[in-house]
Amino acid sequence: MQIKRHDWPRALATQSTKQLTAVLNEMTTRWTITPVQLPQTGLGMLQLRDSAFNDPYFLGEIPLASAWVSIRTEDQQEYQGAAQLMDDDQDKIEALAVCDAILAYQLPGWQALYQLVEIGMAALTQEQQLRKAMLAKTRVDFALLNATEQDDD
Amino acid sequence: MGYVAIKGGGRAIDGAADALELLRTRQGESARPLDTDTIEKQLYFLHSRILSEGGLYHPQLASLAIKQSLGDTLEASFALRAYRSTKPRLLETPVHDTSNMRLIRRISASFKDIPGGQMLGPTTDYALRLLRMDLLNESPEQFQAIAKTLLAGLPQQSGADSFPKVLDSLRAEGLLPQVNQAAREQPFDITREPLIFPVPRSAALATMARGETGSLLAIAYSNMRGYGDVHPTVAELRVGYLPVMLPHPISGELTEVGEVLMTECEVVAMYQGDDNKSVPTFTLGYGACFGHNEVKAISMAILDRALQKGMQDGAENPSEDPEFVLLHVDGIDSMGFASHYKMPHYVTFQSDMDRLRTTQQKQEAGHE
Repeated sequence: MQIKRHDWPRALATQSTKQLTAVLNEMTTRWTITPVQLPQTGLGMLQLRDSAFNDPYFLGEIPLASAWVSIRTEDQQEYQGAAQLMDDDQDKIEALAVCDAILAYQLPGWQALYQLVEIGMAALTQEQQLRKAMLAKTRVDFALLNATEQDDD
Repeated sequence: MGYVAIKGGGRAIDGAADALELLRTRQGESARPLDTDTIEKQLYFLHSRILSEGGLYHPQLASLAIKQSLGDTLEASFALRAYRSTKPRLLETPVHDTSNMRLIRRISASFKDIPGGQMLGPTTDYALRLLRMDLLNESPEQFQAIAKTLLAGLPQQSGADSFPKVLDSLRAEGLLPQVNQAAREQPFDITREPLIFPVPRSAALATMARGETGSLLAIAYSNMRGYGDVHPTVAELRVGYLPVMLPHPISGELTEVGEVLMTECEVVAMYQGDDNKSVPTFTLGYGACFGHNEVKAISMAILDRALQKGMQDGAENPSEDPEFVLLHVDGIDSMGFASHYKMPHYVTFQSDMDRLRTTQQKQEAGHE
């Protein structure tokens, strides 16, 4: 797998909860899925380091959902998966935790999920390319200013 | 004189809520409800302001707050703040370094040739401030065509979107105070602890980060105009998306859980020495907030510097007094106090009238 585990949640999060659960429902019918920790939605406090003096401070809060599940497959093997996301959709985070286990251990059907990861990453990359293009288009060319020997200060 | 219970307003209050709802929806057959995506995109700066003043980065709920408050920034921020108070705190993130921001805008007033270059990004800085009358009759087709045309015209080749900070190069030249690399104390959490002065700088930064833009601007402006002497130069103003990283619950590997749009500003101010004991260096101010709010970030950076001066040398101006600044910049606090004067004060006013009448009677008696 080219796309690493640390990118799976944000890539899969581009898909709707409905899409994710539809794929998972087909794969997990004969498995038992139980929470290792109860899924939670709430807030996280975002901590930054200021660049003037390196002082840590809190910028503000972010929504946060987290889930940690255990999957028991039909051959009685147990696998665990977990996910955290800036979201407050409990169904989605539970689905992402199941996806995490399936992808991490390449459980039967993982390829279908990995396709969703690839689709999600492509969408994220496209958005990133758009932002970069906007940056490139608005880059200031000071060569013209230097050529006319003007100065802005 | 006993307390006067207020009764009988229930129906009027219900009617007032209906009247407001009628105001929101009465637009005839062309009426269309605002959807949250439209608010986020087409009221971009308003949306950013609510994200920042609400102190919660929740783009969809910020849009909802704007919608239900009919665009009142204070009410919308209040609604977002009220929502956050109903949610449990799950964690504090690890400390994030903003040099990882995926920038959409980056400028400096200090140097032309900053490492990585200057990119204007989306800005109103160069707008003529003339009304664009063509927008009055903009059709959905015209509207949708604009983005298509602009997207088609973007360059295919693009470079990096993360850059080193201008301050790093100034620091490398020995022009800035060195930072202490030692472990710092736990930051002050303004959502859990009251501000009891003196407060650490982290409390000031957090308070200003969710402060009301106009309040921060007004106090910073007082400093700029003469009630203070910060005289800043913007070393760098950055707008972009900061990836939020949390350790994976099982593997412990840092995993991106989302990103926040934020604005960050560093200002360089008048240099100072330490009573000739150390090499003089420029002084610094720092501002940051959720969303794209440049005036707020600049104002915050100026106030950060002014407050440092006030804490070191004693406050000579309002903008240098931590208690004055930090207790007056929160929009929810100040709006609440101002609005409470609309509430019935029948008893206290009755008392005021009694006292005035008694004083008048005494004065009249004295004249007789």
